[in-house]
Amino acid sequence: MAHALAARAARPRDRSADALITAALCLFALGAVMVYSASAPSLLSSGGSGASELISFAVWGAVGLGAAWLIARRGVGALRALTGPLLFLAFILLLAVHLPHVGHASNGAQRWIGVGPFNFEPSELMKLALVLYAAQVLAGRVGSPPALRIALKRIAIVGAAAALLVVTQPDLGTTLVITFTLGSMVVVAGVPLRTLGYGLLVAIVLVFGFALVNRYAFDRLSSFVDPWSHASTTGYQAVQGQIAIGSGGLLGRGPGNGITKDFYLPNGSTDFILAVIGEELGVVGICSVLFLYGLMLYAGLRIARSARDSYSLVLATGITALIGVQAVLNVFAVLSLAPLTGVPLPFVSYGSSSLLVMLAALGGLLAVSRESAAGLHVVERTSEQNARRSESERTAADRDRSRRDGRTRHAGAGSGRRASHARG
Amino acid sequence: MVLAQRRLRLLFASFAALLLIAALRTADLGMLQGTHLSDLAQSNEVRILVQPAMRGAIVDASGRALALSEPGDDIEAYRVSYPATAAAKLAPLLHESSAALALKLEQHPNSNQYLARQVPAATAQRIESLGINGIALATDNIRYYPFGSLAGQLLGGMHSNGSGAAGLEAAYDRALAGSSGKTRVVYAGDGKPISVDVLRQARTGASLRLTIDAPLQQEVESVLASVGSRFSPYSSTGIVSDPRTGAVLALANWPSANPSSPGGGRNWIDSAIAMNYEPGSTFKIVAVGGALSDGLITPNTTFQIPAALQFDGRTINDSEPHGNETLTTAGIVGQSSNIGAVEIGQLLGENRFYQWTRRFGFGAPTGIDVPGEEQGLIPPLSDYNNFSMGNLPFGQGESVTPIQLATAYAAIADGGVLRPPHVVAAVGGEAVRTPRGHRILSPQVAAEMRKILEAPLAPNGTASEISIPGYTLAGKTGTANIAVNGIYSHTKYVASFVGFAPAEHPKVEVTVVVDQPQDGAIYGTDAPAHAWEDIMSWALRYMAIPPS
Repeated sequence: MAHALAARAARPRDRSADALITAALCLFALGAVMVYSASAPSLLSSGGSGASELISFAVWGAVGLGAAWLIARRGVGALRALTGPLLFLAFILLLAVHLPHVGHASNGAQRWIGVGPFNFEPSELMKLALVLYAAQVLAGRVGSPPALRIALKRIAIVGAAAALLVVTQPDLGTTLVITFTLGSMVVVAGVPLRTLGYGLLVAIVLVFGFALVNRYAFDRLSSFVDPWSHASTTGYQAVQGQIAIGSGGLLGRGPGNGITKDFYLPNGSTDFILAVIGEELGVVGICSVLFLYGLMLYAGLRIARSARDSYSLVLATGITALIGVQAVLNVFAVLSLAPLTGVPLPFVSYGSSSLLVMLAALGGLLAVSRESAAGLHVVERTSEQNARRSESERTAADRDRSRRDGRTRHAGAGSGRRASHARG
Repeated sequence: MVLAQRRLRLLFASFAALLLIAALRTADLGMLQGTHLSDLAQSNEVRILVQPAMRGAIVDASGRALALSEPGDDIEAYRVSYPATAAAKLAPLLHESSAALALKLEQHPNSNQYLARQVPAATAQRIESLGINGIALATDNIRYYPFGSLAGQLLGGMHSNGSGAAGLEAAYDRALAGSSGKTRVVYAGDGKPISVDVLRQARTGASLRLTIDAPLQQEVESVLASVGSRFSPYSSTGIVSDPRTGAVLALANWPSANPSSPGGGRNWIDSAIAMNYEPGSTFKIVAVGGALSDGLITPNTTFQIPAALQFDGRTINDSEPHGNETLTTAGIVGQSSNIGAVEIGQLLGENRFYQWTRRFGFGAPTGIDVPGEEQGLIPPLSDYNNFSMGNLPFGQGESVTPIQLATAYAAIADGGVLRPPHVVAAVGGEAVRTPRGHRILSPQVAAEMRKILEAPLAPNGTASEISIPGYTLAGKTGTANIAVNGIYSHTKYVASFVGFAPAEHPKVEVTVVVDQPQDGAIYGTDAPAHAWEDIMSWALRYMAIPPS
């Protein structure tokens, strides 16, 4: 305890984990308020107390926070050990979704399994399982192109299998989240940008190909191009979202005062909760949400940078990207900057599976952060090798910090490269 | 690891750029397009509803409702979820086929439309209790006329939009209408109201109390109706008033008009105030009253009346052939001698005659508070020709309205004060200030005139067969041929009778004008005088006026 305090006093404390938790809890709290606001009218009119979504959101949030705490405490190793079982489970459940009587359909898509009030969306679990799997495969191969090629193949095969099961539900949104998240991980792992470019090209071709054969996806894509000319049919939701944000103005109508959620805007408490935020809290409210995601991304990627090893690095990147990609896809869809793909807003949207998985993933990120800090504590107590390594990491981190400061003064790609030579 | 750090930075930069784009787009939607989008939201969500104010009642002198409003509702449809089911439920209550209703509902589901207007409150309550989504009630009111067509032309009627169309309903529309209320209703997407803000409370309109007495009006109208069935005139008019105040107690026209369905037919002309006609002998009071006031004659001054009078190359006859005779002023009035009237007119001269015509109120509106008053046509002095004084004194060559004539006679009855007649006693409970009259005759001359006007009802008078036991009556007959294409017709004429009772202290005055009676009843004594007798005897009894 005394050592730990001394260590904390000795080095500037890394506030990334604090920022991450703060931003996530802010989003979660905002989510609770907005889920209640957005869901109460329809729940009340169907005869309930109006709070059932809020209660469910809070309960699953508590469960998710418990899971996050457990994962952060057990450490990265424990999470890594779960990779195989989780991936297996995710595949089994995804297959089960396609079975009649086991899977449930809603809004024209077969996405859920479960009994009674307990419904689960296996594609949410799949996202996390794939991040763990990709981290496992990429670990130790970071920065080594020949080794990466093998990893890429494996990831492509497993990812494609998962994507196929998800996209046929159909769930183009989750497929895109998986694609971009895995893409982010391999980018950070050091895949040559040219290879990545090919990958991106293939992804675009596949998306458009899917849209051409799938009527549901095609409608969503075509109404994206001009939602106002489909304002009463396929563009209805996008148009109502724009109307909600537009009538909120700069400061919004005030929490609970939105009207669009009252049977105008579909999915106000789930995929379109950002529109309700825009109507009730205004441009300021949406920009605050965007800032909180920016903060989470910054903190998450900082944790990745100071990760203990390449596995933790890629894992932290994957989890951060998972949050970021979902957030951006959701926000862009609501703002009519991207087609509607049905992606929930992380930590904010109502949806137990998404919330649970997101919070668990947050736990993984915290575990990575803890262990990089824990490594520092070990320095003063145990092996010299560890001490050297951690020392070098610390100086690297300090140098990096100062170099980064330098970059703001002398922006240029060359400086980074030089630094790497100097250190290498 | 260095490459990884660069890639992490690249990743963060990409996310940051995407979030920045999202922030800019948010500002675009929320602020740049905000007005346009929130207008769209408003037109979706918000409606301003108008609650028509309850219209004030029109009551007679004793508070009997002549026109009153009762609550009714307009049935509005807006985004009805199941048109066919709704139509089936509504059809029996609205007395329409469910197919027609369903068609209405399906044609314009997103625009607010009236399914029915002014539905009685009881029916509206039953419709509301059906609880159909998208069907709403809007308060309106229904105008009823409890006496049917009574005083139809006077009351006027209503437009379907709730404003007065004619008569008093139109003239006092602002006072009667009150002010409508306004509420702002915010609707949810399923058509249910979320919030209702009263922007302005509806204020009930002021009620209008008239000087009209409904039973008396009914009596006058029934007498006119029997004249109508017996003599088939073009139209007829009856006015009952209190000469002491100018209050009109009955203002009736035949044929009647139903205020519940106002229109533009001739029965809608309020002849009592809007009919210009040549008065004939009733106009002789101008020459007589003027000459008495100017001291040129007395009631007993005698005049030599030839069988016929040559005047500027034309021959003037009296209606009853007679030889040379001597008549007093009262005799001239009693037997309605045209030659006598011309002789008195000559004493006055055209200048004074014209002045007295105007002084009695002819040639100008009386100022009665009923819209649409005409003012007759009195030729200006400059238009007089050599023959003018040969026919103007006995009521030909000028035109008047029934109300002008009634007003002039009321001045004689009331001791010489000419008062503008009125029908509105109070608006919103506040008494209307009765316009002050002005003196046109001295009390003595007025008294002499009242005595002279007893002559037509005395033996040898033109209306000697008219009498009401116990009462001394005063009045004058009048018959004037109607000029058709500049020549006086021998078959078309207007017959009238004006008079008051009791003659010495008049409390009630009755004027009856019958336009073109048929069936050979040539003289005013026939149709109007008998109608006058019926109305006057009923009124004296009804008003409990003690006998003379």
